Amino acid sequence: MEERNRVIWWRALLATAGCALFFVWLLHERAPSPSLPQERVYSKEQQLEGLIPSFKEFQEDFVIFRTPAEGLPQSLRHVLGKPRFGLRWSRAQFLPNESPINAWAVPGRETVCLFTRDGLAVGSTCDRSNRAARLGLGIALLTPQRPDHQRGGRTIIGIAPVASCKVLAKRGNEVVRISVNRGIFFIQDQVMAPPDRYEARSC
Amino acid sequence: MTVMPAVKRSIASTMAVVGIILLGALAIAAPKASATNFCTQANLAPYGQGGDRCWSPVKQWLNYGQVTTFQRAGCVDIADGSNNLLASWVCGAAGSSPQYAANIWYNSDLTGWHKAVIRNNNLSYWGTFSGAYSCYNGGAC
Repeated sequence: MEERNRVIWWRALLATAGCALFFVWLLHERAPSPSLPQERVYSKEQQLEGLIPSFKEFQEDFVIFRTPAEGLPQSLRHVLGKPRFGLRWSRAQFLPNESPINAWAVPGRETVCLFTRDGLAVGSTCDRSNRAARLGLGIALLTPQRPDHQRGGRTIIGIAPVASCKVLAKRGNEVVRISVNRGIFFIQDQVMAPPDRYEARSC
Repeated sequence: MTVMPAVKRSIASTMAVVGIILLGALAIAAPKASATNFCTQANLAPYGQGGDRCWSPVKQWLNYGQVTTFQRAGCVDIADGSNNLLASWVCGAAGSSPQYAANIWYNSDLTGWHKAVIRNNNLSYWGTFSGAYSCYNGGAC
């Protein structure tokens, strides 16, 4: 009987130790990775003082956010999980374009992101909203030529700030001029290299 | 005194059961957004040359990759265990560090063995890039 009790106690002790170790591991996992952007926490006072960029500012900076939002499809939300950087899935704007790639612009806390859906993959890029409001924000997708000889190529899609007519996609000395239509820029070509930077130019 | 062992046994069993339930619950509610770095500040050759890309280890459930850029634009993709690319390259602009420039989720074959891969897509210049990956549900793998 004594031996049996001891065994039970040991089992209980091991289970408790397991729980404790799991908690330690969990805390370690919760520590933010250095490669992930840190989210800023605002106090209630800051919120009241309006230090957080409001959605109105996005509407002032980008034409695309002035139309009713389509929202991010549930299928994408499911893939992406809980939004980071205060991204508001419900405010996502669909970016119509002439490619099979679906794209959305999503506003967040001092951040704006682009999401693309290309077949089974979802791609994304983000930038500070104030920077994007100066230069624009673009994402490039490079599709290699497929074994079925379907032609590969480059697709660039992005959003441009208000009053810009074109966006310069720059890579070294090469510059591609992309016209802006209703706040969206889009181009498809056969160059298999992404631009190093985007620069919106006013009209 | 004869009751004590029974009480002790009951407490021990309860603790064990609670422990197991807790483990299960926490495993289900495991936090997201935990990425593992790979190819940190790797110097990659111009596109088309040997050494123009850098691979993460192959992991089961891996479905997310991201690239951080410095001097040049960079791209990220997901590949299978045989290095076959599973999607288009997703590319972000230069100078994203310390944030990531672009990321990709591959939403198929979730239980499969995959790699994240980053690439220098500049045709002329070497560049520095860093990658990170995570597995289904954003967990480490």
